[in-house]
Amino acid sequence: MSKYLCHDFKSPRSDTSPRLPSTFMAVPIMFLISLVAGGYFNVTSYLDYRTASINRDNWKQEQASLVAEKEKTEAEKGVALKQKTKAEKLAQWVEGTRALQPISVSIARCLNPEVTVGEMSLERSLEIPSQIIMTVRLNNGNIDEIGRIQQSIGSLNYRAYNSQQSKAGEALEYRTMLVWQQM
Amino acid sequence: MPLDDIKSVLSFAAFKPTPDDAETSWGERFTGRRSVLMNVNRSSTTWRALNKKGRLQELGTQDGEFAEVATARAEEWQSTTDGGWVAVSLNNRFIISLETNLSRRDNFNEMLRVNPKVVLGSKYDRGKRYALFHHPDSSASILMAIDDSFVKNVEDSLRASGLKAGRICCGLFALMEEKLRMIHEKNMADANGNYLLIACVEGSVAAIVQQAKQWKDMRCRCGVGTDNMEATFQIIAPLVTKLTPGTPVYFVHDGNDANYARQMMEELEKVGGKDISTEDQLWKTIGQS
Repeated sequence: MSKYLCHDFKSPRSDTSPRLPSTFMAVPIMFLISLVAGGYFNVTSYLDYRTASINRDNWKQEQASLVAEKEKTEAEKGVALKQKTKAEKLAQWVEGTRALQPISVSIARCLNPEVTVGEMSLERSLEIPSQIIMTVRLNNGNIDEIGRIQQSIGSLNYRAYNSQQSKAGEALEYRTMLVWQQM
Repeated sequence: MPLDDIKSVLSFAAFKPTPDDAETSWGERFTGRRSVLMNVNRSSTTWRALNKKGRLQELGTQDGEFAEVATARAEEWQSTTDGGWVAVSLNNRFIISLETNLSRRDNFNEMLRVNPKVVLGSKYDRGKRYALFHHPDSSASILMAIDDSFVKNVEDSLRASGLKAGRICCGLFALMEEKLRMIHEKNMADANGNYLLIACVEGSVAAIVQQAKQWKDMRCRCGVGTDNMEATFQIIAPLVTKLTPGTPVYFVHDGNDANYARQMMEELEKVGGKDISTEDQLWKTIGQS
C-alpha cells in the first residue's frame, strides 16, 4: 500500500527556502571526507615527521660517534703506520747489519796460500748500514787475487762499488764499497 | 553567503525536511522532536502531544473559541513542542463535495496551495482553501473547501500564542482520503464495485457511496455534534437506503469518543457495517502521515 500523505492548506511562508536536492549532499559529504582525510594526513604526517626527527637525531648522533671512531681509528692507523715505518727501517737496518765474519772468512779462503793479508778493515756506514767500506792490503798479491776476492764476495750477495786498487811495493791495496743485495 | 546557510549545509540540516514542508509526512519531519496535534471544532479544541519517540500523550480538551483556548493553553503547548510546531485539524466551516473532471496534473496538491484556480477552474472561490482527492478509476473527485478567514484566524491565534503551524488540514477529509485509498488499494469494494464509507470526526460527518465502481453520492456536514445521534443518522440515511443488499459499509471515526463510535456501530451493524478505524485514528492520520 502506498504511503498516504496528509493534505495541507496552511498559508505558504515566503521566508523559507526549499530543502536542497539529495544529490547536493555530495558537497558536505566530500567536505567532511576531505576534513577527516586532512586530519588523518596531518596526524600521520606529524607522527612521521616526529619519527623522522628522532631518526635524524639518532643518525646524527651515530654519525658523530662514527666520525669520532673514524678519527680515532685514523689516529691509531697513523701511529701504526709510523711504527710500521720505524719497524721497516729497523728491519732494513737489522737486515743491513749482517755479520762481517763471513766476508773475512770468504776472502781468507779464496786467496792463494803464498798470499798473506797484511791489513784488512771493514767499516760499516753509520747512516746506511748495508754499505760497508772494505780495505784489504795483500802481500805478494796480484790482480788475480782481486778478482777472486770480488768473486767470493759476490757469492755472499755483496756487490762491489767504487773499487780502487793501488800497488805499493810488494803490497797491493784494494779498497771498495760493498753493498748487500737482497735478491 | 550567510554563515547559517553554510552551517545548515555542512550539518545536513539543509537536506532535511523543514517542519512546515507539506511534501513530507509529519512523522518524517518530527523524528526525535516533540510536537502538538490539535483538532479545532466550532466551540472546543482537543489536542494530544507527540513525544520524541512519536508516542501520543494524554488527550487534552477545552471548550471555547480557538483564539481563547490558544491564549489559555499557549504555555502548556509551547512546553510540549520543540520549536512550537503544531499540526492543526480544522473541523468547522468546511464542506466536502463530489466533483468531476478536475485537473489531475502531477503537482495538483502544490497548485491547490499556490494557485487553486488552475486546478479548480470555475469552481474556485477566492474565499476558500481546498483539498482534493481523485477517484483512481474514474474522473470523479472529492473536494474539500474551507473558509479562508477561518484558516487565517487559526493561524493568527497560533502566531499570537508563539506557536507555528506546521500543517493545517481537515481531519475528516484526511480520514476519508486515507480510507478511500485503502479501500481501493486493497479492493475492499464488493464484486460490483460497491461500498459506503462513513467518516466521523468529533461531531462532523461525511459519507460517500460508490456503485458500479463510480462514486455516486456524497453527503457531508460539519459541527453536527456527538450528542445528537439522530441528526447524524439523518445525514447518512439517504445513502444507506440506496445501497443494494450486501454492499460493504465501512465506518471510520476519530477514536476519541468510544461511546459515540459504539452507538454509530450499533446502527451500522444493521446494514453490515464494519469499523475500519485504528486506535487514535485521527491523531495517527494527522501526526504520522
